[in-house]
Amino acid sequence: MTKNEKLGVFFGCTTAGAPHLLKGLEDFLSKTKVDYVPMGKDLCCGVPLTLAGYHDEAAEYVKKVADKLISTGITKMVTSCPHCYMMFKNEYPEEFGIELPFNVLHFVEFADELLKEGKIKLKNRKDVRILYHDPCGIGRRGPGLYEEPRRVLESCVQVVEADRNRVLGTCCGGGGLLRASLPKLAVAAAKRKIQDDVLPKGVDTIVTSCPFCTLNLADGAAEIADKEIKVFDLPQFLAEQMED
Amino acid sequence: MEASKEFNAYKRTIYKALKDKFLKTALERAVTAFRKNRDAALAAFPEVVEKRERLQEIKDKVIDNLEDYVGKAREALEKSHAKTYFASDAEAANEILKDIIGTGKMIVKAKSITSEELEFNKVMTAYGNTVYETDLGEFIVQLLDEKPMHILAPAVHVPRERVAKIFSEVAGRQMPTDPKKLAMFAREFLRDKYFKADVGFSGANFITADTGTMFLVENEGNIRFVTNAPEIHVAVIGVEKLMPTLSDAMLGLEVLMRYSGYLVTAYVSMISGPAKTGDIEKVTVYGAHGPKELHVIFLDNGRLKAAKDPVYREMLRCLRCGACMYECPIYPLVSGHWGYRYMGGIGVAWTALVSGGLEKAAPLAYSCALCGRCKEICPAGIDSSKLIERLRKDLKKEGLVPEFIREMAEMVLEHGTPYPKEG
Repeated sequence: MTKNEKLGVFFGCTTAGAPHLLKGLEDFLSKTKVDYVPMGKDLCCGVPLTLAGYHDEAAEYVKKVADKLISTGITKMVTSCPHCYMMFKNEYPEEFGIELPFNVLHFVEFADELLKEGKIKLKNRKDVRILYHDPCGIGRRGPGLYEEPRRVLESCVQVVEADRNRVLGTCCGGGGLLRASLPKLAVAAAKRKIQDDVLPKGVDTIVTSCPFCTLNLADGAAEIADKEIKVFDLPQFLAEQMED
Repeated sequence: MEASKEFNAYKRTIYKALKDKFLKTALERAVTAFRKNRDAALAAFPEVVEKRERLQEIKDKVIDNLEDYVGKAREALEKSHAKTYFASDAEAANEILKDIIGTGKMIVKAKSITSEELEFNKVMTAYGNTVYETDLGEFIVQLLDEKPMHILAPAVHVPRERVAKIFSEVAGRQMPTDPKKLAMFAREFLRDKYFKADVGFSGANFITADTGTMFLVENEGNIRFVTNAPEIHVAVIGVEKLMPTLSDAMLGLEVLMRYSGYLVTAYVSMISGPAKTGDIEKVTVYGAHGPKELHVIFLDNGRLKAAKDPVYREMLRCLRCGACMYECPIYPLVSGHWGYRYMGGIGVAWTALVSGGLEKAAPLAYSCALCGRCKEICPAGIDSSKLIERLRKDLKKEGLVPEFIREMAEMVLEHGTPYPKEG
């Protein structure tokens, strides 16, 4: 990062509301020793409004959010939530005509950048096998950030692929407000996903890059009685794999 | 609020379906088999993946000029001595059907989701007719007095044990749970109905504008009987089934078969008019061996309006191959309970615009995780997530938003978070 860059980290309300996810991202950031402006811990990006069809009401709201973000003078903003990411990256300019004067990155891009620049040191734990779950928000419904998280993960652990992965990956059921509208259906989808994709691979750890996927898959895993499956959001997982 | 009441009733149905062990077993069997078959069909005919792009162009051309194509197809059919009709909605279609069929008649029926829009069985039965579903899945569903749960496999939700039970009741003797024996029972039961029936009723998978040829794709052989044995054949066809030419329909046929999980289907019937012969002194006589009369009703029922909408028009590309449903993270958990007459993600827009209306579509619109997986497998490239997002906007405008959505939106607008504060 150049001297003139000022980094903002947009936590997003779902990460901020889940202590283990929040701690994971904060730990990662503190271990990388980057300076950043924390934002979005109590400020929703507005995506629930657009997902609910409240576009007219959202217009005024997102303008306020944008003004707040811009006033910090950041030059680059990272978020670990694909929903926030797509909202800032696509919806703000396309739906609401707001051009943010800074680049928006998803955490997987940020971590990939840091790794390339040699700014994060991960433990070599190639005996650990994890399955990576592609969130739809940065995958097929977004820019297709499939290789970035895999590059980062492969630098420290063994990445196992589900038979259906990347653009053909099976959704965990956690998006589109489903966890709010029909939570049991959302969790049933996660459970099915784990049964179909994860258990046959003999893996007990799932890593993903979305707080919704992480929470929903964890809820699905909890319903599988005979096997313990651990689910991590990428920042949280990397924080644990980093040399102190 | 009405929208919330509807949503809560729907939620109870979905949660009940989640606990249904029969449903779970049947769906798991179906999904596994379907995915395997579809992957095999696509692997055997990899060029079909390119053909689907051509198909999308053809479909879009038709959607741009639906009324013209209806006109051309009607002209071609009339030239071949068929009678054609245009029905603006389900009620109009039913009036035409009552005129053609009359009362006190026996009707054998091919599987047709379009007929669900008309509530064909209910309406025709009330009008004093007897209707026999002849597709095995539909036959099972009709006996159970339930609704079809998948567009291709209507009885996808019924495990063999339940089929055996209902067939036992009809047969008056204990039926085994062997699918082969059960299928043979249906065969024997229905066999003479085709020849006793006054009317054969069908839909169509495609109909061409240049020749008025309808394509009916099947494996069971029932459609051949339905459209051939009775003296009168009546077809109700949604206007989106139009294809410009015979060769366009052939391309559509290939794509449809492979994405439905078949290398090839056992039968494709192509029908362009009633049966005829000119073998005696070249005098044309209609009704040689097949039907004497062919009646084709083109059904609008909201399609023309959808065609003019920049977002919703995409839904009219649907071939009803069912591929999306088996890749969906949600549909395989609850089957057609997520739906009204049309089901799954694509069914939400069809419910809103064609069969059911916004009120019926409202609860269904919030069951989609908006993951976009269906678009990747859809041979017509339909992005159901996009259609549903658009529908949610319309539901908001019409005040049909369930309470939990309204509360969440208000939380965001007032407190900057969708999550209620603890305590």
